[in-house]
Amino acid sequence: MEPLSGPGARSSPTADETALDSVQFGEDIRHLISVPTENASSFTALLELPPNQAVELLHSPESTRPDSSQQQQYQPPQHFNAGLLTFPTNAALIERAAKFSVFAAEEDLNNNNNNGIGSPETNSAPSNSSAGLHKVVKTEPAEPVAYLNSSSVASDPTVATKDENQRTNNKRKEREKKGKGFSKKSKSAANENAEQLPYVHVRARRGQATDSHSLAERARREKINARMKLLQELVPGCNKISGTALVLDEIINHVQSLQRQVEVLSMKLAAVNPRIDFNLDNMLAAESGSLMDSNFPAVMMPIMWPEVQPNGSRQQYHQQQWNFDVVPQPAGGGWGREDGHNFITPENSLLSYVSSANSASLNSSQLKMEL
Amino acid sequence: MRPPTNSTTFKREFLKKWLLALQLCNNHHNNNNNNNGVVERKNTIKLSAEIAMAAARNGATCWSRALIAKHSSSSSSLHNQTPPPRHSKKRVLRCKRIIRRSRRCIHHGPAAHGPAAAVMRRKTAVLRKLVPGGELMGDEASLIRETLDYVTSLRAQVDVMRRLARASDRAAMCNAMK
Repeated sequence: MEPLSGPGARSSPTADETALDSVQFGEDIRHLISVPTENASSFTALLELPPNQAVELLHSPESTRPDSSQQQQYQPPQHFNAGLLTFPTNAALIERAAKFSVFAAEEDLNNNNNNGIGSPETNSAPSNSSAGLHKVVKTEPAEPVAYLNSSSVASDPTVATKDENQRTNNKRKEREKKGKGFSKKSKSAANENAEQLPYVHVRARRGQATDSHSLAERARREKINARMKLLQELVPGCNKISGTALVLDEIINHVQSLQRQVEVLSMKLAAVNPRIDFNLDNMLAAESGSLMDSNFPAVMMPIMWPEVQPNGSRQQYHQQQWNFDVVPQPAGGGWGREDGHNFITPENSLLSYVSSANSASLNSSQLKMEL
Repeated sequence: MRPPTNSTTFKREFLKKWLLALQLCNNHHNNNNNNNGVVERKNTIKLSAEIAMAAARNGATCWSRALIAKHSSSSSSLHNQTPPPRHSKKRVLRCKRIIRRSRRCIHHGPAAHGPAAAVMRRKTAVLRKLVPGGELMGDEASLIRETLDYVTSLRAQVDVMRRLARASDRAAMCNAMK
């Protein structure tokens, strides 16, 4: 189990912890540099370790902890990965974990740190770390800039430690400036210092407020902005506009115009009055495969009847609707004509519905199948 | 994350379902009322297209479920054959009411009361009305996500309909020339 007696060590006052925090970060970072890219996520998670535990870990990088069941060694990266923070190497989760460091990795680690609040979240076996991530991470992954820094730092395994140290020292100073900057987003964990539970860590950027509300707000805005960017790419002509309100305007206009287009097109289609042939062998499933390419217009053509009723009364036209009546209207009188169908091959017939009355059942069964 | 809308397969799915839905709608309307006018036909087309578009998403998105729920109450025949919507209409209404009520006491962020925020809120309200099921979504982020998806599906729908119309025009022209 854990070499550290959790409760005893954990009861250190908060000031100690921050001091330990600041001390350990440099070590953290230095040690994590040797960790390969996969363990980028573990970097941030390590930072959220209880200071005492992390210190232990760091100060004894070479030696395995005497009674640690998991191998918490830093030197062999794979051991590190397997032992301390078994984050899944799923790329998406790595992203997430880089953003929200969730201390839900190790049972053993967490067992000592439970103080009831986060215990359901901490008692996640390594295999459940992803589940833990999912549980704790309430928001969708957006990508705040700060995390790119952290992950890039951690993902340079072989960079000379000196540069890393400098860079990470700067980062450390930044972090120290913010004081206890690791505020949590999760509502469950209240006291960030007293416990080392899986709460969502949102790292505050330099010079920004660090209280949980503003951080939550900021993360929310970031997510929204990421999505807005996607929308901007989608909506034509939105790329140049800056400012959320204007972009929203454009989006609203675009949606309205699309809906209007649907109206117009459906009206247009309603006005079309070809007489559609209904083949008995309804190969709808087979047809739809061929529909979506440029053959589409060509496909349509054979379906249309060569003859158009020149003097079709309004009634007649209405009978021959584009939307294929199963029961042929007697007054329409068009359905019976079957000549000229032969060119409609099953794979080409776009709208080959059965026209006879007794095919209704067939159709409904087909519909059931399709839907 | 929801898988991104693959355009071609979506169009294919949409077309398939649209054709089927057209037939269903038509049967239904023939049973109920007189389906002769162009307007009714247009409505049938549009309705079936909407339903098909939503069904093609297979209920993965909120707007699709909301669309299906909205239409399912009006046409019982479709009810049997389309996949049962996750929310019946009553539940949808109830959700809307609850969300509206809860939105009144939402804790807004720091810039919640400035004029810019009011503008934003007005715009998101408009967007909510446009996107089906928009009112059901509590937060802006999911609204935007739904809008994204809805826009792509609308585009695909428009594309399919336009091609259909163009093809039929061409066919009609060919026929007329003969």
